[in-house]
Amino acid sequence: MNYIWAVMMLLGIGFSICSGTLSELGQSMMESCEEAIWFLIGMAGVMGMWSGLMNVAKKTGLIQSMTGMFRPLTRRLFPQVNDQETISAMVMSFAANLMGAGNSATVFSLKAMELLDRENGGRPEASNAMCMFLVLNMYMVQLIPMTVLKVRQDAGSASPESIVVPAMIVEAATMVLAVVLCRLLEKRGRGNRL
Amino acid sequence: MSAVFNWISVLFIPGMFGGILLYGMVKKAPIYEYFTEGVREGLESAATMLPFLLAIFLGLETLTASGAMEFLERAAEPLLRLLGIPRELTSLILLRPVSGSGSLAVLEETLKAVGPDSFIGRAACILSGSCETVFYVIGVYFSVTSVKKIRHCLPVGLICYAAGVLGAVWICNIM
Repeated sequence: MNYIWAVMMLLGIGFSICSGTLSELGQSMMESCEEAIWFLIGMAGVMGMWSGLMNVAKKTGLIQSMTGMFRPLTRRLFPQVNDQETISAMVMSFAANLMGAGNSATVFSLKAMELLDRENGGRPEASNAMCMFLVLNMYMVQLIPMTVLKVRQDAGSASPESIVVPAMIVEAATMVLAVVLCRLLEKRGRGNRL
Repeated sequence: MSAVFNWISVLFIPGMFGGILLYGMVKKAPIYEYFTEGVREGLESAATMLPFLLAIFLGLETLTASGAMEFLERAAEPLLRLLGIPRELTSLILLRPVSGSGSLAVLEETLKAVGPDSFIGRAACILSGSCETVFYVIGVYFSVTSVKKIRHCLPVGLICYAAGVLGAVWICNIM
């Protein structure tokens, strides 16, 4: 993360010096910070909402019975994760992704990452489960690509939905590829701990 | 078809609320108390995320606003042409890993220029679905953890990205 960030910042600043756009860059940099705060404010409400609802589901025991249903699947993908709360956060995040509910998906993903981090004992190295979850979530198939459909409609497409099936085929293929690659590469890491 | 999709989407949030709250009522649980307690936790994690979120927004903006992205676009064009990827898709392909909202704007422009039902327009739409905002997701997701080494996340993310691009163009060629 350290290097990725450094490269982004320095490459950008270096380029700006070369092309003489420093004043615009400074402006955009400040604007992006402002945007981050606004984004979070919008996000915080949704985060609070889902977190509240999930707390109800957790305390009433609903999550316990729900996660049992997904256990066979999650056991294969995340063999080291046993905590019910973590599993339910992951399952909810996948579900929200499938539905194309972007913001809600992010909320559950962050919750899941937090819990996975706790199980990882706060180690500086990402666990296998974290990598698998992140990659799988990125390349999750989307049943309802609402935004793209909307954009197509606005652009005057004769059949906005015509891309849904081919998109799903490609997405399914990349998703399988992601899981396989993740499995292959995680073995290279030192020690197969969580 | 569109209507069905719309319905499922619309039902997601109210349906979840209705189901979970009803279950709580049946169990005679103090659902209001549980809900507000959970909201507090959610808001707390939002607050801890902020520094990391700001850093990643700043980094991505610096990269795109400085013109570094445009340079990369020009540099990548011959390579992409070699792979049979139309020139019109270059900026979308390069912007997508760093910015979701930015690439959406590019998608809108591309569709306006080439038409949503053309080969390039369809490829652009499929690509937007199958390729993810890799750098953004990694930055934001790990922001809530204490992880410093992200191991194979980046390579897997990028390889699948390339696969998504090629897959999108390829499937538009045959379907």
